[in-house]
Amino acid sequence: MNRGTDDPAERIRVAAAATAKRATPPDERQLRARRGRIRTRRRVQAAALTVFVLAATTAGFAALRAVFRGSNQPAFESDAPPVVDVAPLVALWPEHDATVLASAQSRVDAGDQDALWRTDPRAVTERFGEEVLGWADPHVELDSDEWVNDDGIRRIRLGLCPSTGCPEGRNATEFVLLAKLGDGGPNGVWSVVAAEGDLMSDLDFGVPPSITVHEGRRIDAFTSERGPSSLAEGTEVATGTVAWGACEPAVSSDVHRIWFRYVHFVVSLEPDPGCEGTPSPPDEKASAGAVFSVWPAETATSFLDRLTGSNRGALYPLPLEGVSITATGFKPGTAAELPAWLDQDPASLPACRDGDLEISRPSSSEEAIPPAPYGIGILAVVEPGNDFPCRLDFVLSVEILDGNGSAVALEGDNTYRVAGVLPSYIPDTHDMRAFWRLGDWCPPLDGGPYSARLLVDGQVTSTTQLDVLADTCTQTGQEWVNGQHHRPPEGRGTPVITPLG
Amino acid sequence: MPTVRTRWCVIVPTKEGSLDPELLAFLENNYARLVAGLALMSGSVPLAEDAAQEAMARAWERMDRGQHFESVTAWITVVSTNLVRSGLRRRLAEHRALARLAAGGADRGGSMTMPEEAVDVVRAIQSLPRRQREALVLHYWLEMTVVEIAAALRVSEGTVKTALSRGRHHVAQSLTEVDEVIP
Repeated sequence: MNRGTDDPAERIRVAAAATAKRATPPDERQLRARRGRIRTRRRVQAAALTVFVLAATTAGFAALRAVFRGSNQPAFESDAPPVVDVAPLVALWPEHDATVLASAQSRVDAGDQDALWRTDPRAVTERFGEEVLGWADPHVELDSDEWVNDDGIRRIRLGLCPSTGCPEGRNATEFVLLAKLGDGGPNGVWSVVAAEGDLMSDLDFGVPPSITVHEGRRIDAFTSERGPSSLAEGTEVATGTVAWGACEPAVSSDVHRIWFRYVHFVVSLEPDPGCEGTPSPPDEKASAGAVFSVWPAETATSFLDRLTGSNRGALYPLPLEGVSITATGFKPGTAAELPAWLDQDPASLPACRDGDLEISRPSSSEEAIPPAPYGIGILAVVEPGNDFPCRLDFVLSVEILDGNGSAVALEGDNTYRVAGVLPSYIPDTHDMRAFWRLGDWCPPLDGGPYSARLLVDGQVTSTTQLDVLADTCTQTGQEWVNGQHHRPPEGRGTPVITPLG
Repeated sequence: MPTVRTRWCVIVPTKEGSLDPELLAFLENNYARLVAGLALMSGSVPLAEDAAQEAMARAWERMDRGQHFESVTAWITVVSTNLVRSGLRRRLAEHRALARLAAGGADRGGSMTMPEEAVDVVRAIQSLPRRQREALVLHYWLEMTVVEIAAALRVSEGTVKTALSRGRHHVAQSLTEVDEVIP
């Protein structure tokens, strides 16, 4: 192929120009539907914020509010699920308590030389590397990002490397997110609110810093795959939770494997049994805490020792993923069960057999299927037949039959490969779907009724009458549901079934 | 995969609550360009369209509430870039993981939705760290200045310049290797 130029900028422009031709603008109906969802989401978020503001007036948050003036807004503007508890930001390190943080700020304000390092984000990051990661003489080397969110809290993200320097490929880099939780001015102290290791790239616990996390909550942490240096499928990592209360920190840790780029665990906050005062964490009140994941898994104990100040461990986690949270006790109805097979190698699962799956009859409807503004959608849904996972790998295809039961000739290949595991390892994925678009065709109505027949690996499974075809086809052509008339390309057209990804 | 046909796709504004003229202008003049840029970042045209349309809908919703944008195009560009970065990468990785599990299965992660002329460039861009990837596309395709990119990505201008320089170097290197393999 003639690529024309060696200039990478020009190559990007050429590639983008070719890609731009594939872009299909939305119709107004699609945009209107999206706008409606956004409106609904915004109303729900506003309601959740109202609930928080009411909650924040109770005694439990009174002290925190006095310290974090004006910080009772959501930390991040997000599209998180609607049931969101919002609390003031808490730190991962060095303080976990608003009063202690206020004390540190007072020392800085009084000019205490031993406390001035807290106003330097690089110094805070380096000390975090020493005291929590256990790195000797780490240093900040990478570029920094600094910004202020809508909540007015100043943040900075710094790259931290071991003393040997940031290696090529940056496998040994930790990114540290700091925030000025109290005084946002130049003398405000910085606190670590999250840490992100390079190997578990973009690991996402689904919980932004400061969010309230209840005991029993299921965490589905996702780590994207970024090149060969990312942790491989099947890698064991330690995950867990810390909560700082009135007594010893409540700590839990377990080992799980990465499958389908997810690590699953359940928040567990075991109270300190030796505590004679208020249990740690309190059953109902919020306390500062963190969810974390570390690799190698055997470094979890020494990491937790350092994070909780118990002693200095000998094994260094690399990377650490940690997010500060507001930890609370068990909330009825929120505890999750974690199936044991989520840690099992999916390749070791049995192949699906009869009874393991339920495959729906093909359903059809008229609808706008981008890029075309109309068409007939044919859908088949594959669902698990029980709670035991199995591997499926088969090909679905569709045939169209006329009123005599004869197959109508179709253009192209409409096979659809369905492969994976059901029940799924991936959260909120309960089934697999095959979707086709039938278009460009308006058959003579006296040749019907027409039917869609679903085949699995070439074997007929079920047939459904295509009533929708009679609804959309007039004697003269096809009609879109919104009253827009469209004719097939030539005459009554030739049926095309397109599998949609 | 059959060729996608677009001849019937039209924007039909309605009288009541219709698209703002600024959004219509964006659709006409900048939408395809933005989708192409997002597709280079994400490796998938459908995902890019999803992000661009979501950003447009958010802009529309804000306009309904009386918000004024200095530049609708700039706002949609930044928001859709964030959407590609945060939410859509997850879907791509899930697709890749599923494709890997199905031995010999095709990668449904979206790369095959890219035009042939773009595949090598997309692969080269996809191998870059996120910031370099975004800076390259925003600068060389969407023609944003270094200052504008710095503001959009919330980094310093020096960081943008470094990302552009490194990204350009790596893409050139990757494309040279590809060209040597495929004469």
